[in-house]
Amino acid sequence: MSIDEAISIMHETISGEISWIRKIWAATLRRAKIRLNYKTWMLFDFANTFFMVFTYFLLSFIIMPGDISRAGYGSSYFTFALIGIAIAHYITASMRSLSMTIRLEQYYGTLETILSTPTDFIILFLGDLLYFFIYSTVFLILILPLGVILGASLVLDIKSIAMLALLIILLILSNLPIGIVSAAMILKFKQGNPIGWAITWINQFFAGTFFPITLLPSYLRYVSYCLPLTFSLDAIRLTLIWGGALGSRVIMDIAIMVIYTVVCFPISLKIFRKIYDNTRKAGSLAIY
Amino acid sequence: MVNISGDDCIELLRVGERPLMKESFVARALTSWYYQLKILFSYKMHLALEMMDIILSALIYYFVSFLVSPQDLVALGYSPDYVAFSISGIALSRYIWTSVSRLARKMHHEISAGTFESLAAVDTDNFHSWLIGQVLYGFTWSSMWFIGTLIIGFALGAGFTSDPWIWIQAGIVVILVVIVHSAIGIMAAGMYIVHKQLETMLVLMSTVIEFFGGVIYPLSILLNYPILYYISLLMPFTHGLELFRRAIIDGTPIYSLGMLVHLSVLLLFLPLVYVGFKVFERYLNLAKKNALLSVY
Repeated sequence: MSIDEAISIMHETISGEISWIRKIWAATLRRAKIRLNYKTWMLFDFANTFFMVFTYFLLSFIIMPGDISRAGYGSSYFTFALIGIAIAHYITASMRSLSMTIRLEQYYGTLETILSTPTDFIILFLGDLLYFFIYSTVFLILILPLGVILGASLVLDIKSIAMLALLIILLILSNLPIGIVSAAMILKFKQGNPIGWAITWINQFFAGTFFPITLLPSYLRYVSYCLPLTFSLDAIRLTLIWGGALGSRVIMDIAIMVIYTVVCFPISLKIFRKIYDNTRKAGSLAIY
Repeated sequence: MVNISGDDCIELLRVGERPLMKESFVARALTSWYYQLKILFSYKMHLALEMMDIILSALIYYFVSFLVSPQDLVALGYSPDYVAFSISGIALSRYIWTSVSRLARKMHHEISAGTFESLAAVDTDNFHSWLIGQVLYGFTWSSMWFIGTLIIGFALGAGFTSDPWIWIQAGIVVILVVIVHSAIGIMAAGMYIVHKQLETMLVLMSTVIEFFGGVIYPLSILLNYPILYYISLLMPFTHGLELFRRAIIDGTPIYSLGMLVHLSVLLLFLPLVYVGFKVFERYLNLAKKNALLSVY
């Protein structure tokens, strides 16, 4: 019997009685229940972010507003940095949640068991992603008001919040392909997460997380323009600083994020599917 | 069923181990350090990414320095060179954090990989030589990171002193800071054996150190918030960083009056190392008695 025949026989036993929405929700609850077991971990995670907010609040005391203003982000460095910190968890969710899930399951020897269940791995991943989305939103809801209390000038009316929700969804969708390819590399190479790690650093530096990209020399800015996060951060900052009106720069950012999503999403899924199938055929899912 | 306590069990298993202890404590510690280094150099991709980490983290603050007002830095009592200010801060804080978290991370790895019980089974000195070896490795690795960051900072134009005598003094300060903070690492490693989930606490610790130590902003800003300022003075890292910065940026010798105050405070924290070993032993014994070594 060939490997393909063996796989197809296994596929036949799959029953599709339960809707995929319920399955995704079940996967979300699974992840939430696991995470809620580690309450101290969550507490430390929140405390860590709060300390970061306070650190950049104090740093802003010695920052000159000129370059922030020239880049179009108002006159407060604290507001600029706060927005970057507030959405950092969404960035992690889109770029690293899948690879972190795979790596953990691989490390604890449970990956093969999970992938052997009749539920498609994509469903499990979407459940995880939904959990991280909810978790990141709790962060956002706590951090933005904290920033306002400390003096950040944010526009938080219904229009800008609605716009922010749309931009966050686009942020996740446009950055997700990087996370999917990174997860595929983990399946293939069985190593930590070198690509995810490198991308995190490259994004932190080139996408303008801590300083406006206008400070970079023009030749380095080309790298920034290749990263979807540059446009996500720009649009979110402009929306929260100036309100939810659709300016030409925000429209351009949205258009670029949509292009990234439409072009890169199918490619990344194809890469992941190919590596996933090869790994299953080689029987190396459980190899660590 | 024979009625036997946990202590009796451990003592029974120890029988016969003493005659096998031929190697010295130092040799065992060095072996523990050396095998860990060999593992490190076998991950070349990991090393390359660490290099990138060093360069990019230095570059981030290089570009942030364009936004910083040198006049404000001077008004707050520092040199106007923010690149030197921030690079010295992140180099020392990462150095300490990497060293401190090293043991807890190693515990995490050994326990989750299921090898910690095996290590305990061949242990001859309550893990002391193994601990020292791992601590040494942590410092070797973080020293490479530390020196690399300073070199990158220097290449980016950070105005560090060129006086070798001051650098020797700065080196002494770093060793002292590391010794004091290794106590925290040893305690955290002990707590990890029993409580398991401490990694995030170590990340939080690094953020707290960055916040209260004034790693990327001048500490005198905290004078606007007196409670926070006094808390920061209770942390050994604050004094270590102040000594290190004043030495390598301003060229101030550590025996000048202001520096001696910070140095004395730092020395007061030295007994923590002894406490660290005691805490580790307590947790290790607790884990042995309750058979928690291989529980993850």
